[in-house]
Amino acid sequence: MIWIAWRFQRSVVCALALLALIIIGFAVITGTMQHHDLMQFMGAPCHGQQRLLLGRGDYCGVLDVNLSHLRNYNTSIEAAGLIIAPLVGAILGLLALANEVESRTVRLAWTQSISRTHWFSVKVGVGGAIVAIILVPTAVVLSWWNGTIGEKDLFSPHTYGIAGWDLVAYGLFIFALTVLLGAVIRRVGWTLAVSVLLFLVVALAVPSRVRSHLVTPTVSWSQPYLATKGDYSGVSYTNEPPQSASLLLAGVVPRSTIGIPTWSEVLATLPGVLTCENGYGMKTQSEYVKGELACYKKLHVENVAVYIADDQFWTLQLREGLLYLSAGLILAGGALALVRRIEP
Amino acid sequence: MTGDELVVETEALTKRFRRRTALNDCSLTVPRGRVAAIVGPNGSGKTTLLRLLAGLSKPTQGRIMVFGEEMSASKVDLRARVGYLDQDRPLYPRWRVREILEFGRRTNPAWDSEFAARHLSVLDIDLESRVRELSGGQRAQVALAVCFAKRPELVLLDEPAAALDPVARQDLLQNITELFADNDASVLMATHAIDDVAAICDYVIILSQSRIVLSEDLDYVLESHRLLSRGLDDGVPVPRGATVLEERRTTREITYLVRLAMPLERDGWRIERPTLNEIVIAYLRDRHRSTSVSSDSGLEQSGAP
Repeated sequence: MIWIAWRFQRSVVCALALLALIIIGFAVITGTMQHHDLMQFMGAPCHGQQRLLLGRGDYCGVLDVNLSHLRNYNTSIEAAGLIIAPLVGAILGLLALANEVESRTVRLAWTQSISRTHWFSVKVGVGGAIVAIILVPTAVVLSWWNGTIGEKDLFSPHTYGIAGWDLVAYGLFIFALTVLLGAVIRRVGWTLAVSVLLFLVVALAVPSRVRSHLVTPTVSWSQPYLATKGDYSGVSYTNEPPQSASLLLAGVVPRSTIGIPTWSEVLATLPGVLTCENGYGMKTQSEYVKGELACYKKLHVENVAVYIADDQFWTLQLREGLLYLSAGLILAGGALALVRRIEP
Repeated sequence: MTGDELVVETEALTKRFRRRTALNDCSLTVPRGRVAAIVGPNGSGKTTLLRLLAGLSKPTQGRIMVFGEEMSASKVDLRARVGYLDQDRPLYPRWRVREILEFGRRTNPAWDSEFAARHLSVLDIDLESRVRELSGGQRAQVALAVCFAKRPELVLLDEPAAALDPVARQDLLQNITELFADNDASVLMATHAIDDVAAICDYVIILSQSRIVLSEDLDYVLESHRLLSRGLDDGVPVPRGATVLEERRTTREITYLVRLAMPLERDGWRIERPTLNEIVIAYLRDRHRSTSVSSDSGLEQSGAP
């Protein structure tokens, strides 16, 4: 049965593996070159600046231009990294069931001397294994690429999504999702469309609604200004999260808030603060700051920032990946239940 | 007839697809060792009946027994004894014929590789050809080889000769006969072609409007039906025990196709044997088989056949 599952999808698997290899190769080559040029540019004698060198002319300038050219490829690699997991998962998910049901070849398979459960388990098992085999090396290389020359903001969508093992988990999740939808819809085109749409919804919902529950976020309280230092310029928050952290929430809430503040608490507090501030003269910067400080004191509120610190990146990757995998297993179980009932 | 002698037995079998009833209250038995034909117009439920027997779908009501056991998709051992040829010949188009046979070998413990290869070799079908490159007839032969090489005791064939040219059709029917003889299997074949039934079948099941209207040995069917003709003005009544299925009139003569329940007395009738074609068409046309036979025309009330 493993041979049958492999034979059924081998040409598509080869094409997807080739695509993954191209992405891997491209990331390795441009990543290595960028890393090399960056080290040269940042080190002596350039020290990160375009300067004319005695006997070497505009060596630093040339390095900088080379780096700029190489950086042009980064967007392509990030885009490829974001697309590869859903692409591999969805296409192999289609081949696992929807394609066979639509082309009616299940009538051939399901009238041989094997059970539907056996047939489905092997097809989904082989499909899932292929998804993992293609995506694991891709995830390893893209994580390296990300760490070497990618953005330092680990939690930005085009960084988090292509680094770490969540790339593999995304692929397996959409694979299982497509298999289940294939059992329900039974048409390749519609199954693909609905599957990609649902995956996008999940991928957008998880960072904003789920991640804060997967790790314990850091809660940072602060007064609105460093008034005591007499510096009233600019910043609203005296204790901003680190630049590479994932900011989940920022706003004003009562200092008595228990637990991790939520957006609803921020939204409930804000009108009172604004009403209070309107009662003060706000003509000059100094008046504005004084008024705001007075209101914060009067209302017993403070600025709060809730964020996931970058040292929790791998913990979050592990937990989020496990969440996607668990959801994938549940979806595959649902697909099996449907397969046993399908009348092709 | 005991359960062991029956390969197929259905009781009040009903299958509905949403609002459409594909099979309605069908009770049927097929004895072992027969080549049975299921005939009926499009949409009469032939394919639905075969898919139920193959375990591809479940009845809405009633029971379906194969070899005395209730058929279901989960009964692998039972399905191993049943071969099924779908009317769409669903083979993997990009696979080579050799790979299709390998598929059969890997999914059937009783697979007869030698038989499959020999069967296709006799028909000059190259095992290295891709399925999509084969003609309709060759594809049907490959599907048939897969169906028979699993060594089934019951073979379900859905329109095996459909869309084939006359030569390919004749060859395929010949193959089915030979395969049946070689494998000692019972065959249940859905077909539109009544000529095919006469050529290779010994049992006939007629389906009309989702109901079974006849299920008998072919010889018995031929022996128990007659064409009775007389002049229009002769006024001779239809003999007792004869159920009129069809009436044909010309300017001088009236002919009844009747089903006989007892030996026939001539009583002035000219009696001929109908062809199977005539019998089947009469059943398919006769939606109300409990025909009222008016005394004016010399017909009498008779029961359903």
